[in-house]
Formats: sequence, C-alpha cells, structure tokens
Amino acid sequence: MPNITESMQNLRWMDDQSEKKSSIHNINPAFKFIVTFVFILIVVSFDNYSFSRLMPLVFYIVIVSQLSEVSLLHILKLSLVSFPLIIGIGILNPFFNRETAYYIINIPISFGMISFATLVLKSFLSVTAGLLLIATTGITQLSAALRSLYVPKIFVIQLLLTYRYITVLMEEVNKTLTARILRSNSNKKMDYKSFGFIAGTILLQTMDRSTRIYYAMKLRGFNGDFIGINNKKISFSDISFFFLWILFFILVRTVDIFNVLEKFIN
Amino acid sequence: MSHNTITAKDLCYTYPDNREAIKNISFTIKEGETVALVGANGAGKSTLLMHMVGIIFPSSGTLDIGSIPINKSTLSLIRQKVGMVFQDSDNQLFMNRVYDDVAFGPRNYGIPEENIDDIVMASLRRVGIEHLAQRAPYRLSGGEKKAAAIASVLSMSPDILIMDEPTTGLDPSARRKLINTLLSFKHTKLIATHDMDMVMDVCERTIILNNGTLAADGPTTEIFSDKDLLKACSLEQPYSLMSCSICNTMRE
Repeated sequence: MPNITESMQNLRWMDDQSEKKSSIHNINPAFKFIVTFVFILIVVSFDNYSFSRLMPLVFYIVIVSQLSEVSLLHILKLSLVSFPLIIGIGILNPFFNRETAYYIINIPISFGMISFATLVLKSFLSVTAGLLLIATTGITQLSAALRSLYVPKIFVIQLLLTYRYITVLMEEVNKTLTARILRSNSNKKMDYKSFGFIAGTILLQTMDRSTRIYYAMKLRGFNGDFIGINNKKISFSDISFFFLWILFFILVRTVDIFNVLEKFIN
Repeated sequence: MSHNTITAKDLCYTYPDNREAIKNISFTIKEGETVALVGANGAGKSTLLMHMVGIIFPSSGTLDIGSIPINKSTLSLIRQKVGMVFQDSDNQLFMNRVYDDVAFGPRNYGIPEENIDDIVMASLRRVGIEHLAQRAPYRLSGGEKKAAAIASVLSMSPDILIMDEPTTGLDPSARRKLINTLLSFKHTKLIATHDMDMVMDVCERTIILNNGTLAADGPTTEIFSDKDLLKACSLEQPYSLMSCSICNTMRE
C-alpha cells in the first residue's frame, strides 16, 4: 500500500516540521492563524482574470517557507493533492471562453486560459498557505490558538479529532488492505461484495480505535481546553509579523503592483 | 479507611446487546497491594478495568475508590486518583512529542506551567526514558512506547495504577525492564494480564475471572498451584512452576 504509507509519512512529516525551531515557528499561533486566514480571504477575493495581480502573493509563501526552514518543494508536492479537483473544475474554461485577451510572442492567450491559470494559482496559494500554517504550528498549537480566539470548543475538538482520525483511518486501511492482498491471489480488483465488507470493517475498527484514543484523552482530564499549550506572551516579533503581512496583503489587494512598476520603469 | 483501596460490591455489568459481562463480583484491594486479574479471553477483565476509571458504569452493585463511589459526579476526582495504562500504547500517545503526552494530564488538571517541566522529567526518569522526551511517539520501540504510556499516567501522580496487559508485544528485555519498573512502584496496582510469569514476579495476589464471574481470589502461589482450577478457567500454570519438559524436574 505505497500510497497510504506515503500519505502517513507526509502527515508525520508535517508533525515533525512543526517541532522545528525558527523565527516563524516562534510566532504566536493565533497571529499566524489570522495572517493565514486573511491571506486566503485576499486570494479568493480576486476575480477570475487577476492572474498577474495574484502573483505578488507568492512572495508570502516563499518568504515564510524560507524563514521557517520548511521545504517549499515538499509543500508544493503535498499541495498537488488538490490539483485533480481544480483541474476538474477549470479545465473546460479555455474551451468555453476563447476570446483572445492578448498575445505573448504571437501566441494568443484567451480569457479562458487566464481564468484557468488564475484558478490553479488561487488553489496553489490557499493550499500551500494552509499547509505552511500546520507545518509551522502543529495541530495541537493550532487548536489551542483557535480556542484563544474564542472559536467554539465543539469546532476545535472536531478539527483536532478529525486530524487524529485521519492517521487512525489510514493505519486501519493499510492493515486491512494488506490482509486482503495477501489472500487475494494477485487479484488486484476488489469486487463490490468484498468492498462492502472491507469498508464496513474498516469503519468499525477505526471507530473502536478512535473511541479508545478519546478515552485516553478523557482519562487525563481533557475537556476541550488546551491549558498551558498556548500561553506564549505576545512579543514584538508577533506584532511585526502580523502588521507587516496584513499591510502587504492590503497593498496587493488595492494596488496593481506590476502595473505600477511598469509605469515607473517607463 | 485508606484512600487508595478498590472495593467492588455485587458488581454486575450487562452490555447493550444483553450480554452479561460481569456477574456479581465482590472484592477489596488494599492500599499498596499488587493484584493480578487473569482469565481467558472474553472473561470480563477489560470490562472490569473500564469500570475502575468510569468509562462504563455498573448495571448494578457499587465500585468505590477509597471512600469515593465511582459515578458521573466523581469522575474528575477518580480519574486523577486512578491512572490507567492501555493495552495498546498507540492509543495512549496522541501528541507530537513524548514530552507533550506526559504533560497532557497535568496541564488539564491546572498544574502551573512553571511546574510542568519538573513533573514531566521526573515521570520520564522513573521509567528511564528521559532521553526520549523530544521524540515523536510513533518513532519509539514497543518497550519505549509502553514506558512513555506509563510516564503519561505517572505524571498525574495517581494513587492507583490499572494496567491492561502491560507486557503484550514486548521483547524479553523490554518485558524485564517493565517488570523491574512495576516492582519499584509503591502504588496500589491492578494488572490484567495473560503473562503468568510476570504475575509470579510482580503480584502477591491473583483474582481469576471466568465468564464474568469471580472464580478465585487469593495468594498468587496458592492460586497457581491449583492446576484443576486453572484448567477449568482455560488457564495454565506459569512456566516457572511447571516441571522441566526434558528431565521432568521442577524448575528452581
């Protein structure tokens, strides 16, 4: 089951990254969360043809990944997971909207092509920003930050347990599918009847394991609050990080930086 | 009355599917006693352990920790006094680092953050894994995971330790280390296990469950010398009490 094993390794890689020590890791998780949230809001606020105006936002991804020493290449690889969905949504745009917007070295670029490229860029920016947030914060710190921002307990527990459940689910799927392959006489195809039984078994097994993990948390006094995890005092670097990036995002949203630069050069 | 005793009186538990898992069990475990809970698979050992920490509640009868009855209103207090080590350590270690897993309980019980480090390191030291504090739990060996799981319970300073098959899946060296660790604890301990030799080393008293009923309760050496009783409960004598299969003499 190389795919499942690889996915499990990727999740663990994210957890490992969150334990690194860097200037970005040291930023208060609540500030990082707000900055990422505003970043994603700004990204999605642009219209379908704003490819060039979105480009300066790549700067945020590059700078944060460099400062946090989290491999941008690996984050990009992980973000590819969302691409099939984005391609499914936008692949027909170039065919439906063929009106030429401009030419690059005599090659006509249609509005459909621009809207597809914008969609891909928006997806890439949002997903990588989210992945960078988790890789530089960790799910526990992030949950604690959400609680400190008065996000209701029920949503935060849901987020935390869902993240934990993914690992549990993958482990159980891995075990069950390995057991099936060992007795399937090289028959890779799974018939519908087997699929029903296997899916049901995996569901019951994961529910059982998740319940045990939840018990282990409850037995050690967990009631949805993350005491002591997010007790970092707000520092100058937190405030600088917050205001500099928010100002940059507002600048990108209100000013067409490339256009201004072009005029300035001319 | 001592605070670190366990008293079960006419304890019964029936699962929602009407299967009777525990039938009229009564016993008292005194402070500082180490008691083994043995029985065949499905005898009711894990169900009984789940009662001790209020994961499930008796259908009838009572279960007290010291003078405190286990019910919904006393759960928080009970769970601080009684630490449970799960059979599968993977279920007990859910944080990114061993340190955070061990700190999880004390933090939830409101211990000031400046005291957390001392508590965590002391707990890790007691099980001999202070060097693993910053490691991710999934990178540990089976024995190390078990030690981390025990440390995560010790950090809450429980008076009573409940363990579900602690030696399962451990290699001989890790098993021996665990036995030595258990021997060093002064807590009241209730250990559900199939490892009869570990029982001989650690537990002075043994309770046998058979199909949800209490089949025997007494000194370990006495219980394990009754071959007929063990056979009736689908159990076997520990290897240390069996005669040598080659020369047919009793082991030392």
